[in-house]
Amino acid sequence: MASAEAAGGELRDLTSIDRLVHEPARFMILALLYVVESADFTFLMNQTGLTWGNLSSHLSKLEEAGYVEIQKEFKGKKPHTMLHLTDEGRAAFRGYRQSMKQVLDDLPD
Amino acid sequence: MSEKINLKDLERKAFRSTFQDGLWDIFLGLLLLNMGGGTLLGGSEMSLLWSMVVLTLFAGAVLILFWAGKKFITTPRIGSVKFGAQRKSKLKRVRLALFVSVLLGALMALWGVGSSVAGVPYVIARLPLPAYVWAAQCVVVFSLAAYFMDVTRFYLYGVLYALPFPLGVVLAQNTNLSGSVSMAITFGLAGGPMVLVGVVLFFRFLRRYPVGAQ
Repeated sequence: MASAEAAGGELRDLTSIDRLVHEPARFMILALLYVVESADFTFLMNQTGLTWGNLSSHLSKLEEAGYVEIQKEFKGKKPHTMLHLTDEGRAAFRGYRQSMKQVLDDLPD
Repeated sequence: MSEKINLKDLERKAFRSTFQDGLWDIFLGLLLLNMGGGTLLGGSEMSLLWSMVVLTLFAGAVLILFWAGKKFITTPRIGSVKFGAQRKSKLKRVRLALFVSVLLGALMALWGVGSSVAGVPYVIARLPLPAYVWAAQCVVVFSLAAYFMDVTRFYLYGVLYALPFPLGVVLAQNTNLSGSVSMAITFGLAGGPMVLVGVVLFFRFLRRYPVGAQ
């Protein structure tokens, strides 16, 4: 009974999980940007396997949240988009990993 | 702990993806073939100065091809990425090992030239030291590069770079072939497969990442 209550408590902790990071495609983008300093749009597309539109829409949400900084520049006449995690995004990803690990580790078998 | 390993794997996979175009293989293979060509030129009637000019021009052309391939073919297809501090520090170690290797190579070249100059003591001139030092340093440098850059085929390339010089000496001593022809054969046999692997990887890369798909 007590362990069921504890499990209920831990499950309630799941509501505090950052839903913006929790979405698989965004999690993949954040994980990739977490392990590198910066990457361009094409590199992220190839590594994640997301389509141009999908990636663009997820990046917009991450930019709105302040997790990703998007720098648009021109290389010659071609537009070039570089992306990197902000300090806030890095902290959010780290926090998400910790809280997910804690919740899942504390669940009874 | 497992999460740490997964993130490391993710970074490693991202880094390795920049090596799947085969350009490094073609570049390293062509440099070996250039060395083989160099021994042939050395054995020909061409003057040392002109041989050096031809070899330097060829090496320069290979370097320009490598740079242009990366800039105009690879990067537009797979994109560009800057890696983190840990990877940068690993690459710094590889560069340091390469610098020491080039320095040692230059010393060995001087030794080789010095040995052929009159006045060098017979005992020193007879020592086949450059061949052994070359082989050892190739294995060490390529192994370090393979380890720090996570590109396992560089271990094999270390062996392929190490063998031609000492094997060329053995071939020249045990056959009727001249030293320059023996060296050209061994360098060619080592460099050829590297170029071939690179070309296969390059065409596979072009098929996998068509530029229009971006």
